[in-house]
Amino acid sequence: MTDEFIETLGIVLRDQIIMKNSVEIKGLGTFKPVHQNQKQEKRADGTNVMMPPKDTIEFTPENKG
Amino acid sequence: MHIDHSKLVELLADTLGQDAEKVEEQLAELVAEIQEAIAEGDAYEVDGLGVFSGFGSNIIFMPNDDLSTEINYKYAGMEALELDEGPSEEPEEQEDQTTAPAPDEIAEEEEEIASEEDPFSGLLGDIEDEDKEEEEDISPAFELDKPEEQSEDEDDDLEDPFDIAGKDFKDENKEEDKTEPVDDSSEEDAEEEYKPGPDKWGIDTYKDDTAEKTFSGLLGDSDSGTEEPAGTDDDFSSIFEESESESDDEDDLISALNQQLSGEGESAEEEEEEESESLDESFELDADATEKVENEEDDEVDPFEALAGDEEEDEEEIPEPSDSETEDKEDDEVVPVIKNISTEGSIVDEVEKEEEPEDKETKKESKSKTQDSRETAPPVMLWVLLIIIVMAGGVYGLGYFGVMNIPGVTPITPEVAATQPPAQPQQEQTTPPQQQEAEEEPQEVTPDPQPEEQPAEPEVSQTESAPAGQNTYGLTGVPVEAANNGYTIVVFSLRSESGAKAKQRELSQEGYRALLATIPSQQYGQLWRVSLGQFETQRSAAIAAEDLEAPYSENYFITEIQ
Repeated sequence: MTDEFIETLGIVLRDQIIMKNSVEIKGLGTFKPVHQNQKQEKRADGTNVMMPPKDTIEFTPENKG
Repeated sequence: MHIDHSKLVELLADTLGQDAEKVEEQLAELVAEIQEAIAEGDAYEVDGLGVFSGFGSNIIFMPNDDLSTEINYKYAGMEALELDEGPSEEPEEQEDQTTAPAPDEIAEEEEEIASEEDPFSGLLGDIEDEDKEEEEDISPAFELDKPEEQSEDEDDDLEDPFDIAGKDFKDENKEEDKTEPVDDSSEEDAEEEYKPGPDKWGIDTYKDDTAEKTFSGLLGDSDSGTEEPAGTDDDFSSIFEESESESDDEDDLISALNQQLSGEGESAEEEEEEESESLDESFELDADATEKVENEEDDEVDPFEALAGDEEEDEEEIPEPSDSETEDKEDDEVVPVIKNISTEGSIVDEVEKEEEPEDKETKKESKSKTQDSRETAPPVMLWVLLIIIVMAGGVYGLGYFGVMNIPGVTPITPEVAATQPPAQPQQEQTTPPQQQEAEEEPQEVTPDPQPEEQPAEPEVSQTESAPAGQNTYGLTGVPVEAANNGYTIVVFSLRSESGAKAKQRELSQEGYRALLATIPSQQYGQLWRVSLGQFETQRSAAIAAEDLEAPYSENYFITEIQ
C-alpha cells in the first residue's frame, strides 16, 4: 500500500462522489453522495437566513448492525 | 450510478497504471488496517479522504475538510443569504427582523441609537441639543442643592453645635470657624466643580441622586455633618477635624493664589488676616446690622472681591465639562456669600447689589475663559468615539459604493443577462475537476462545426427591454435588464465558458430565460453559472423552481441575479 495508492483512492472517490455516484469498498462500506437543498434557517438572533445548498458524503458500513 | 468494488478497482488500476490484482491487494490491505484499528478502538485516518472510527459495531466515516469542500465546488462563493423578505408562512414581525437594513436605514438606526444614548447624542447632535439636555439635567441638580442651602442656613443660624462641642474647642478654632462658612461655600463650589453633577456625562448621566447625597456625606462635608444636631461630641469633633484640615489646605491654596495675583508683595498671612477680619465683621453684622451699614461699604468690598477673585481662579484651574456648569458656578460664586449674611439681615444684599456690576465684569471674563477652555479642551474620549464613528461610516460608504471591496458591504455589480441563438447543445454536466480539466482542453482545441456557423448568426442577442406581451419577471421568455435586480434559479455551475454558453443556448431553446453569470472562486478559478428565470422575490423563484422539469428540479438553488 503506497502513498500514491492512497492519494489516488481519495481522488477517485472524490470524483465519483461529485458525479453523484456511490462507491462501494468491499469489507468497509459504501460512500454515497447526499445533496442537501438550500434551506431557510432561523438564527439565534431571530434573523432568517437562506443556507446555501451543499453535498455531503454518507457512509454506510458494510457490517451495519 | 453505483460503483461497486470491481469497478472501483478498475478505476484505480486505470488511474494508477497498475494491475487490477495489485490494486486489489492494496485496497484489501487498507481495509484490513482500518478494521484492525477500529477493532482496537482507534480511529484511522486516510490522507485526502477522512477519518474512519468505530462506534459500537458500526464504522463512522468523517470526510476531511478538503474533501467536503471539493465536492461542494459548485456552490463556491455562496454564503448564507439573509432574507430581505420573510416567507408567507411566517409572521410579519419576523419579516421586519429579517429584512436586511438598507444603508439609509442603518443611518437612521444609528441616529435613533444616538438619540437614545446621551454620550452619542452629544457626539452626533448639535451643541444646542446638548445644552438642552444639560438644562434638563440641571434642574434636579438644583433640587439637590436646595437642602444643602438650607443646611448652610441652618449652620449659620446654629452656632449651637459648636457650643455643644465645647467652648474651648471653639475658641481654639475661632478664626478658622469664622472663616469656615465662607470656606465651606468655596468648598462646595469646588466639589460642584469636581463632581460631574449638574452636567452629567457618560456613566454619571444615570447616577442616582440619592447616591450623590450619601456620597457627599462620605466626602466629609462639614455642612452635612453639622446638619445633624443630634450628633454626639465625638461626631462633631471628627467632622470638625476633617473640615479643619480641608480649611487649612484651602487657606494655603487661597494664600498662594493671592500671592500670585496680587503681585503687590503682600504676604499670605496678611491677606488671611484681612479676610478673617472682614469675615469677623460680616458676622458682627449679624449681631448689629444697623452699625454695619456705614462700615460695610468700606470694609466688605475688599473681602468679597478677594473671595470672588479666589473662586474665579479656582474655576480657571479646574477643568470644566460644560457651559451650564460654569454658569452654575458663577451663580454659586455669589450665593454662598449672600447666604452667610442674608440669613439674618437683608442689608448685605444691598451691598452686593452695588458690587454686582463689578462682579458682572469678572463673571463675563470668567465665562469667556471657561467657554474658551471648554471649546479648546473637549472630552478626549468623545472625540475619539466621534472619529471612530466617522471612520467606520466612511469605510462603509467606500465599501458600499465599490471603492473598496468589502465582502458583505460591497454590492455585486449585476451582470448583463444575455441570450444566445439556439445552437447545438453540448453535453456538459457538473463534471469532476479532474475529468473536467481533461475534457475542457479537447473542447477548446477540437474544431467544432458550430462555431464556424455562429459568426453568420447574431452571436449574442441581448434583449435589454421586455418584448411586447412579456412580463418583466418570469421563468420563460427572454432576459430583461430591468429584472436583473431580482432572483434567479441556478441550475448549472460549470468551469468552462463554452460549456456554460452551450447550456444557456439549450435552455433558451427550451423557452427559458437563461442567464449566464461568472463567479470568481479562489479554489476553482472562474465558475460559470447558468440560471433560469428572473423573479422579483425569492418566494416567487422558489415557487417557479418547484415546477421545473426533472433534470433541473433535482438540483438547483436560488440566488440574486448578479
